[in-house]
Formats: sequence, structure tokens, C-alpha cells
Amino acid sequence: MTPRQRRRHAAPVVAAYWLVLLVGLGVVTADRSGTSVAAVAPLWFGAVVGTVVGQFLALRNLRLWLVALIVAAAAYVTLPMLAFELGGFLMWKVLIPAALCGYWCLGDRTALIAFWFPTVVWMPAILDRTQTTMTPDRAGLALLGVLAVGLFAFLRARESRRVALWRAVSAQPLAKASAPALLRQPPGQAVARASWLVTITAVTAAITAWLAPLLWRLEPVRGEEIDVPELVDAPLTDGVAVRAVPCCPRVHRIEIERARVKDYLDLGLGHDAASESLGEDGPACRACGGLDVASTGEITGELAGDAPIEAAQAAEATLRAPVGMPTPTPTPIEPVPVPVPVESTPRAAAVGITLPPAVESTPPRAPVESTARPSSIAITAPPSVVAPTPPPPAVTPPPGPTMATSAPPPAPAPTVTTPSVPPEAVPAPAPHADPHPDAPRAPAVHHRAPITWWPWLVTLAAGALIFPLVTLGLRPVRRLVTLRHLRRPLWDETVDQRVSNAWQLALIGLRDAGWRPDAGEAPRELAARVGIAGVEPCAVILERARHGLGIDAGDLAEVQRQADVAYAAARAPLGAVARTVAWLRWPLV
Amino acid sequence: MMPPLTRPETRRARIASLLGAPWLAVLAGTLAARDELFVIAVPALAVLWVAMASALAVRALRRVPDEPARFAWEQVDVLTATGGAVLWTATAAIALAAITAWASLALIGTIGVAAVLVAATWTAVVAGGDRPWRRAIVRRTISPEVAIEGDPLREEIRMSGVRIPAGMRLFVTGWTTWHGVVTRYAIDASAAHAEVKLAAELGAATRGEHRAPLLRLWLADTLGLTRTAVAHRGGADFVVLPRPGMVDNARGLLATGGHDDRTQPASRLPTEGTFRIRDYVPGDDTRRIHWVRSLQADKLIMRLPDEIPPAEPALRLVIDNELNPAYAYLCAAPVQLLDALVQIWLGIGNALAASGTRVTLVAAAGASPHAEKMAMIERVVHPGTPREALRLGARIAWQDQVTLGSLLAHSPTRQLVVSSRPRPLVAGGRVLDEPLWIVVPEASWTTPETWLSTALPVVLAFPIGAAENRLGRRHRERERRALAQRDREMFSGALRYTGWQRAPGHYLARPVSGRVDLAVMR
Repeated sequence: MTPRQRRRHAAPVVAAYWLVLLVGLGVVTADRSGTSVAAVAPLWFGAVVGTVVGQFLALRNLRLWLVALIVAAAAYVTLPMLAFELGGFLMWKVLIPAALCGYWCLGDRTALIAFWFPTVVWMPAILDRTQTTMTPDRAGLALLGVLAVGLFAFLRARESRRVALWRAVSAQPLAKASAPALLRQPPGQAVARASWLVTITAVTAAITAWLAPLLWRLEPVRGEEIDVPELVDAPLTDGVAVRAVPCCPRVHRIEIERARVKDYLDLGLGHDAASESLGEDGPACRACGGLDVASTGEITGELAGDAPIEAAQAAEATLRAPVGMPTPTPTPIEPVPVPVPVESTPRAAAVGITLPPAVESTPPRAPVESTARPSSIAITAPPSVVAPTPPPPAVTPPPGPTMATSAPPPAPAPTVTTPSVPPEAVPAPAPHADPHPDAPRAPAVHHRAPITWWPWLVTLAAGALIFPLVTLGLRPVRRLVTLRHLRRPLWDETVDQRVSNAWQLALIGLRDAGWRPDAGEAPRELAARVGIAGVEPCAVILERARHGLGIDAGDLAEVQRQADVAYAAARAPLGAVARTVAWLRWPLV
Repeated sequence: MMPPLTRPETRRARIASLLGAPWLAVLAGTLAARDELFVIAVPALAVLWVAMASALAVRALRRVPDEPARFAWEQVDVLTATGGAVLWTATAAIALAAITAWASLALIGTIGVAAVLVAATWTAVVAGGDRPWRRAIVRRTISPEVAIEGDPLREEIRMSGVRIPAGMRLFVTGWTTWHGVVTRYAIDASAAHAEVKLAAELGAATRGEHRAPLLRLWLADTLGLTRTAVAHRGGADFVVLPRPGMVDNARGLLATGGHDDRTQPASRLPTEGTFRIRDYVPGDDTRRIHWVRSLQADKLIMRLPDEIPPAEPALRLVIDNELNPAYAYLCAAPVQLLDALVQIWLGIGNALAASGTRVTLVAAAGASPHAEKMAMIERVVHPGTPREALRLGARIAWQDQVTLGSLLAHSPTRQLVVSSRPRPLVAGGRVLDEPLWIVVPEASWTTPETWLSTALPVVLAFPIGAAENRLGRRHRERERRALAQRDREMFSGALRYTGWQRAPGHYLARPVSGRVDLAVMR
């Protein structure tokens, strides 16, 4: 086997491997589109370079120990030379298995171990869509299915290469075999063949999606720290119990405790599981004068006074703005309470923080959002009054006498005005005990914005599906035009060509019935083999034309008539399905 | 050389892998202290495993007429080498996942075990038993059916009615001669129930009346994880007639080499020297008395003719194909040497027959093609129509049933023996007169055995991914070649002849430029 033949047989395996790998890298990168390039650059660099090196060495038929030695030497030599962004631990953590799996993807009996690395690349995308209940959501299941399809395509490509090697390589002398020639093929076999791979892939993917998560384990990761307002219960006002409202704009700093499914690469974003209080290191309350909000949403007590209102506005702005940002100038408020929607971000909702609705005495205004820092909670006004929700069980209540996330009784349209806190009053977070000192720090979480790559993927998939369908739909038209031309030429043609057209028409009918001419088989031999009416006369006249014997008008008419007879006779035994499939078949002969 | 059959221990290991590895995977996962796994995964895998085992058991226990007892185990042995590797890799991945808790390993392990179980079930259900082969018609022809040694042979196989289920691929392999090439074909499911023609070039034909072993056919899934039992179909008979060698100096065999009483052609002029003479014996033709010499010698001297006698001389040309033990040597030298013996034997016969000698070919061979019983067979060589002689030449094989002495005994005709090992001959307890030996030295007509090429320690011997790179196969191939080398030494020892100096006057046949050169040993 020549090197060129070796490369030709290896090409489908390499292509399948790269397709799975690059799609996985693309999905992971798209998931982290909000992060800097440095976050995924080592992954790309290690995966691409490692795979190229591994496959290059495999195609040189090097032994595994030498490949491992080369990769190790490359790591030792080039590590100091690479830029820090590329030469970090993650890059080598990716490159070494990428090289080995790239080598193994062409090896014997190493299919599954070779596919481990593309799986590792895909896992962050799948696990990001896996809840802490170990159940992938629909997108995660879809990715799992795509990965399973990739594995089966990879296995199939490897098996095809193995068969080619089996036919060409042996320690014993092998005969030179020609390609199998189909002489007669029953119609309608293609559908059953195509359904097999789909079936086995679907069954295996379903079993995997069912069983594999049972083996997954969560690992705690340290989330970022966020500031949340501490809500305290207001005193009874006029004997009516009121909803806990932020009386004092103290900011309570907590750390989002996050969990993710453990895997080889520490790239999973994780899912928020609990919060850990970091102490009351928020700004001191400057003017908490007993802000009372009645259950009716009316501002009571000293709210109508001067200082508390401004303080509340400032506190609200503080909550809306990132920590450390200048506090916007308080706006005088009107005494008429207007509920302002408060947006609870998904992250806040995840930690069980339900911010009470804000009531301002100002006219309705557009909600203010904060996106400057992902870790800060953006508070905007909800479109309606937020009913108090019971806290999720995963929330760790902050220490203190009050529980902001405790389940208060439902209150109709509670309103709140958050006092303001001067930005300069925000102190640095106090040192706190790390509940998971050994836990890895999760990558910076950004709010999962609308998945911008998803429409593109859907468009590509739809295009990939529609194009073959359109092509398939046009085949009957092509066949119709072709048959029309073979029977009655659409333009002037020579007599010999029209005789050939008639023979082609007969061959199309034979092919519909599964008959195929063998290479080098003479027309009369084919006619004798198939034994279908009309074929023999066509073959006789065709051979006369090929040998330059005279063909008159009678012969032409006869061959066309016999071709129609042969076409009809060959298709006569076919059922409806076979006839339909025949109209979708291309090439015709 | 024939491809090796599956060894029993290999089969047992594969069956044990298929049935045991999934449970090892479950055990490994269960030890990861995940109760949910035990609750959910075990029943799930159990369902898959039971389905697979049931399908295999049904196929194994179903009686198929005319099938040996091993048929049942062949039905269970559905795991390929790739499938076994995937299964054990998946099991190891699950075990590692239990240790490291890496989700990717759990995913790979689960999908690997599930894929193998599903594929094995599918294979047993749709391709198990003799179902794929019930309506199969396999016609195999080796063309030309009667060939001449060295002609190119072509194998053609026509199959129809073979059921190739979706997702399966048909494999066909076969061989024609003991040391011939191996043919391998692979057909995908598009040929299901189709009429297919397979063809391969077998290379130069080797002499013999051959009966090609049955083809081996089996199905394997397109992922390479499982396969079916091997079915045997499509034998073929073909004959390759020997190609007689072009012999130089064959006429020298008629008068030289230890027979002084036989005439030989003279190349002298009438005035040169004398004719061959001898004493008169009663009954001699008085017209042949050499009167001058008689006067000089004072006794009657007869002159002998210096030409071939007008009567057609006759001789028996015997081939020595006796070899003890005549078992199937693994090396190619016995076949090469026997082909050379036949080639020289027929070449001498043709050459002498063309010069007017009545040549009778004598050999120990089967009375009919592929007969087990050997007997002495004589064929007269007719110049121009050597068909019968060639047929006899095609039938010659090493044998130990008929001795060379029995071929030579009780025949007053002059006898020439084509052999590789001249030796004293005994027949019926009587030492026979020594015939004229035409010695075919083994070393000149055979090629040395090849050792397995030693691959560089840094480069694989075959392209990466080829099964021949496996250590087990390399080891077996190395063992096979070592056995062939051992057989070669045994064969050389059996033919060793050291009495060249004691055989003056006999002939030595040497290959020279594709011809056979006969030289007298001095």
C-alpha cells in the first residue's frame, strides 16, 4: 500500500474526527463568547496543535512510545517559549491528550479512547446545560445526541478504513481484487440501510443520556461575590403586619456557591447552588429612620420627611448601580407611590433573592439596568408587583436576626423605596472564611445572553436539510425530462445517437428493476442474462449501429418501440414503493 | 498460506468479554457509591444484556442441519476485536469515572457499553444463524479451468440471494492453493439479495490438480463491533498443467553415462578412426565382421553401427516423488522442488520423444484426480500431443505409498530416474541395477524461506490501524515462519545427498537462463 493510498483511506477518519472536534470547540467558544479570547485560546491552541501533531505522527506509522516521547519533549522544550496566554497549564492539559487521541484515532482498537478527547471538548457545553439535578436540559440532550452521532460517524469511518486495510494489507500475499460489481439489485433497499444507523444511534444516545448522568458527580466551585440588600422586618404599623422592606440600605455581601459536574477540563460554568454570607460589610446605614411601608404600598411614617426619602433613592441607585459606581443624584419624589418594577436577574433568582418591588413617589420611569459587571445584581422594576416567593432551599440564609429571603405572607402590591447609600460609604469586603478552600474557582460567569450562535446553527442545519430535500424533489423532474429526451429528442440528433438513446431508455427500465450491466458486458450478453422482452432486439440493433452497419428508418422505429417495451416490461413487476423510489433515483443508469 | 482459524481460547475470551464486561462496568459504577446507578443503571443494562443474551441463545440453540457442534458457540461468538476493545475500553472508562468522577469518562463508558450491547443484539436478531445463507447461491470459478503452469489465474465469484441486513457488511475470503494468495472481498448492504460478481487476479498458476477450499463468508456491522459466524460456501476445482522445461543436451542421455554397450551417434568422417568394435559372438551378422581388425587380432571382430539403431529405442523415464515423511511441510521448498522435478521429467520426455525415442513416463500418482490411493502410472509420450503426459504431471505429488524401487523393478527397458536424492534401490529384497540418475539438486531449484521482516522499533511494520500490527498476530506470524524454517531444514535433511563423487556418468540438471541444462557428473 502506497503512502498515497494510506492517506486516502485515512482521510474520512481524520475528517470525522476534526468535524466533531471543531464543532465542540465552536460550541464551547460560543458559550463563552462574553469572555476574553484568553479564556478559550489555550483550549483551541492545545486541541488543534495536539491533534495535528498526533495525526501527523500516526500517518508516519510511528510507534506510540515515540509519539509520547515527542509530545513530552515538545512540552519540555517549547513551554518556556510560548506566551503566557497560550502556554499555561490548561494548554498542556489539552495538548497532551489531544496529541495522544489524535494518534489513537487512526490506531487499531483505539476508537473509544481516541474519542475521549472530543468528548472532553464537548462536555463543558453539555454540562453547562445540565442542572444540579444531573439532568441535561433539552439543549444539553440535543448536544448529547449530536455527540453520539459524531461518535457513530467516527466509528463507521474507522471501520471503513479498517476494511480497506484488511483488503490491502497482510503478512501473507493478497490477491488483487476488483471492486464488486452489482449485476442485479432488488429495488428499495436504500431506505432500510439508512434507517439502521439512525436507529442504533438513537437507541444508544437515549441509553447514554439516561445512564451516563448517573455517574456524574457534582463538585463545588467558588462563585463570584455579589452584594445583596439586607431586608429587615418593619415594625407593625397601625396593627397591620407589613412586608419586610429594606429599612436600612445595608448591603450584605454573599458568595454565590456554585456547583458543576466534574470533568477533566475545569471549564464548566456551573450552576448556582447556594450562597454563603461573607458578613455584613456593606455600607453603613446613614439615615435609616424607620422607613415604613404599609401593606397597601403607601409610604408611611417618616417617608414623607426629607432625609429618608433621599436616602432611599440613593440606596436604590446603589443597588441598581455596580458597587463602586458613583451614586446618581437623587431625584425628588412625589408623595404618590407608584410601583416600579424590579427585575430580578436569573442569578439573583437562583440564589433565592426576591427583591421586593420598589415604590417610588416619582412618575414611572424606565428601568435602570446595570451591566457593567456581571457579578453585580441588576435591579430594575418588574412589570408588576412581585409576590413574595418562598426562598429556595439551596439558599443559605445570611446570619443575623432577619431573613430577607424568608417567606413572607403574600402582600398585595408591596412597595419599597430603597434608601440611598453614598458610594464612598461602601467599604471593602471583610475577610471571611472560605467554605471550600480547595474548590476551583469557576470561570467568570456572564449572564447567558441570548444564544447568538443558536440561530446560525439552526439556519445551517435547516440549510443542510433543505438542500438535499430540494435536490431530491427535483429528481423526478430530471428523470421526466431525460425520459422525454430519450424517447423523442428535444433537439436534432443523429440516428446512431437516437439508437443509443433507446438503449439507454431500456437500461433505465432495467436499472429500476435492479439489473445492472457489468463492466465489459456486451449488450447482447446483458439481454441474454436479463431475459426481459424488448431488450434483445434493442441490443441487436445497437450492436449493428456500433459496428457501423446501416440503420434505416425502420430500424430506428423498431428500436424505439422495443425500448419502450423493455422499459415497461422491466418495471412491470415493481410495486408502488419501488416505482416511487425509482423516480427518486439518480443517476438513472 | 491459509488464514488461521479462530483458536478456541480466543473464542472463549471473546464470549467471556461479551457476557462479563457489561457487568464489570455496572459493578465499577456501583462502587462509585451512587445508589441511583444501582437502582436505574443495573435494570437498564440488565434489560439490554438479557435481550442480547436471549437473542444469542436463540441463535445458538436453534438446530441447523448439517452443522457441527461448534456451530452453537460460533453463534455466541459475535464480538470482533474492535468490539472487544470498545467494550473493555468502556468498562475501564466507567471504572475510571468512578474514581475520578469525570463526566466525559462516564459518558464514553456508557455509550461504549450500550453500543456494543445494541449492536450484538441487532446482529444476533437480523443476521444470526443460517438465515443469511439459506437462499445464497455462491458460484466460484477459477479461470481458465485448465491452465498451464505460470499462466495468470483469475477468480470469479457470483453470488445471489445472500441476505445482508441493513447496517451489515459481507466479508468473503478464500484461497486457492496451499502457498497461494489470499483473496478478500467486502460488500456493503447495497448488495443484499443482489446478484454480485466478485473478481480477483490470483497471479501465476502453480502446477497441480487443485481443489480450492470453500470460501469463508461472514457478516459484520458497519461499526465493526460485532460479526456473525463464518459460513463456508463456494469451492472450486481447477487444473494447472505443468509447463515442460526446455532441456539442453537431452540426446546425451541416450548413449552416454555408463552404458558402453549402447550405440551412440558418431561425428567422425568415414576416414577417421574406426567404428566401435567387439568380439564376434555366434549369431552376429557376418556382413559386419571387421576383416582388417580380425586379421590383426587373429580373431573375428565385429564392427558396430555408429548411428541410432533403426528400431525405435525405448526407455522408461521415472520421476522420484517418494518422500518420507510426506506430510504437509509449511515451507514452500517441497512444492518448488516437486514442480522442478516434474518440469525436468516432462522436458526430458518431450525432448527424447521428439528425437525418435519411445519414452514412457512412470510415476506414482493417484489413479484419479484428488485420489488418496497412489499407484504406478505409465504414460507414453507422444510428440506433439503431450496432453496425457501433462495430465499425469499435474497429478504428481509427494507420496510415501509407492517406493521408487517398485517403479523400477521387473523392467528390461533402460530406465532413467529424475530425482533429488540418488540412492541404492531395493525391490523385493533384491538390489536393483543402478539406473541413470538425473539429479535435481534441491538447493538449485528452491528459494530460501523468508523470515519475518523485523520492523524498526520506532516504526510500525504495517500501516497504523492494520490488524497485522497487533502483537499477537506478529507473534503468530513469527512462529509460523519459524516453523516453516524448521520444516525447510527437515526437508533439506531428508533430501541431503553427499555422494556426488560416487556418481560419475550420471547427470545433473541445473537451471540456466530459464532452461534446464543437463551436465554429466565427472
